[in-house]
Amino acid sequence: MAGFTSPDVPAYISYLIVIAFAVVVALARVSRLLGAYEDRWAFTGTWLVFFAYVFIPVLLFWFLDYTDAVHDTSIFAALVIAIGYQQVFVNGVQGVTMPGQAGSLWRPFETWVRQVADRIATLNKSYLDRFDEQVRTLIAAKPELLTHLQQVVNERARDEAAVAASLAAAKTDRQKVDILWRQLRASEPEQYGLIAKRAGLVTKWLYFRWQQKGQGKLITAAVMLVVLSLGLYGWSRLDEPGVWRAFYKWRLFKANATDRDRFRTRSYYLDLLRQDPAAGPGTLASLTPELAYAALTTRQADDLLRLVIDCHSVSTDAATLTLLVDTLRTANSDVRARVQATMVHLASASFADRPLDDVLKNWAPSKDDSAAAIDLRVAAWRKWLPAMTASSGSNH
Amino acid sequence: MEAPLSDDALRILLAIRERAMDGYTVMKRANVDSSKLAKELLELQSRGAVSIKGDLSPDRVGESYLSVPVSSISYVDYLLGRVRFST
Repeated sequence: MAGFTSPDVPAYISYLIVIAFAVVVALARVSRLLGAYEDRWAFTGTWLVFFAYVFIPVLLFWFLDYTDAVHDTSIFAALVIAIGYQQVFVNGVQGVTMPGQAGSLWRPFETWVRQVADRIATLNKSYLDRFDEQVRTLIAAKPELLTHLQQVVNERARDEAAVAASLAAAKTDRQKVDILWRQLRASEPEQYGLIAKRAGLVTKWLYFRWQQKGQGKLITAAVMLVVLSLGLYGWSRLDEPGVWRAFYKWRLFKANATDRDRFRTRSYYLDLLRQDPAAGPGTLASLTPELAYAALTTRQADDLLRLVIDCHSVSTDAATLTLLVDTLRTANSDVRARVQATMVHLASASFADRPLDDVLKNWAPSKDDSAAAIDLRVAAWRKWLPAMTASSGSNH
Repeated sequence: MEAPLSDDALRILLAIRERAMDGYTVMKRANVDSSKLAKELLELQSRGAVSIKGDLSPDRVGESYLSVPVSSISYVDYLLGRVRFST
């Protein structure tokens, strides 16, 4: 799908699309898989499954972009992965195939979901038992409640004599409570909690917690609150310059960015650098160290150096040259040649009255440059730079 | 070829497929007594159609928690005749 024709949108839009659809799909999947369980949202496992279903397509989208199977600025790719990621994992879809054995990761995930469902069943049983135990203990400790329970059961018993016979055989109050409670549950299996509450046998809190899904409601509210708080916190930080600079730095050095995405990134930096030329070196200081990275492609280096040249000015070029000089030490001779050419251009354009010497000006970096030779050129640039920095400062 | 399920087993399965529930509720909905429920649950469990949490003895089966395992949803739908597989 890397070559798939699709509207090209900023990557954050694509990721938001993936997240939005993933939330809907995750809700549907959780409902289908765990919908049979009451109180399903009361369990950490359900939330883990839900968030796994939300984040798996996001991670898959990033992974497929990283492996160049899709572009993370493609709106169609975002939709295909958000909705059909299970199909992508299992069989792949036309134009989107998982690299290597990555598709086999889906099976352990399905096994984990099954285990979560089984755990929820176990916990549900445990919670029912706990509710029963708490109520029975409470009633057994208070003779008036036992009498009350007996009345409630007798009102509903099909065979009152059989219940009386069972009670007669019981030796302790607890045994009587157990018999009566089972009778109540058997006669009113879906309403016994409500009946017990109305009869004053169960406290409101116990009834709310176990019978009215109170625990589930509280946990759901807590998770919603955390998610909402995180969302609002993220939203409040969105306007901070650092967030967008980090985002566009990622885009600038992204090896497989589309032409449209590169254009957007370039436009962002041009706006930024032109709005406040004095801040240019500060902005570039976070970018130029990447030029020393040996695996940087010439395309990435060109994108950055074009920005440097397009936004250069006499007032900031000394600082910009200072930033660039150390990147000449990169092991990538192609990038070194480009940096050298850029530095010569800035020096000639902004400091015509202080020409470079011919050896430095005419140096053409090559892959055969020794470390010592490069060090000599760096030293020559450093020797030239302080004077320029001083004259640049005195010009202000 | 599997032997067909009894009517009691089908009613029990239908109730559990709707939602997970305790044995008392299943007895009421499927209109079976505790002995019948325990017997049919053993059969359904052997087919992997139900998950049983708790005791299967007739006097305690009401307190057990019964559900359809996630991995058996399609199979249970097939047993209930809700889906048909063709070759």
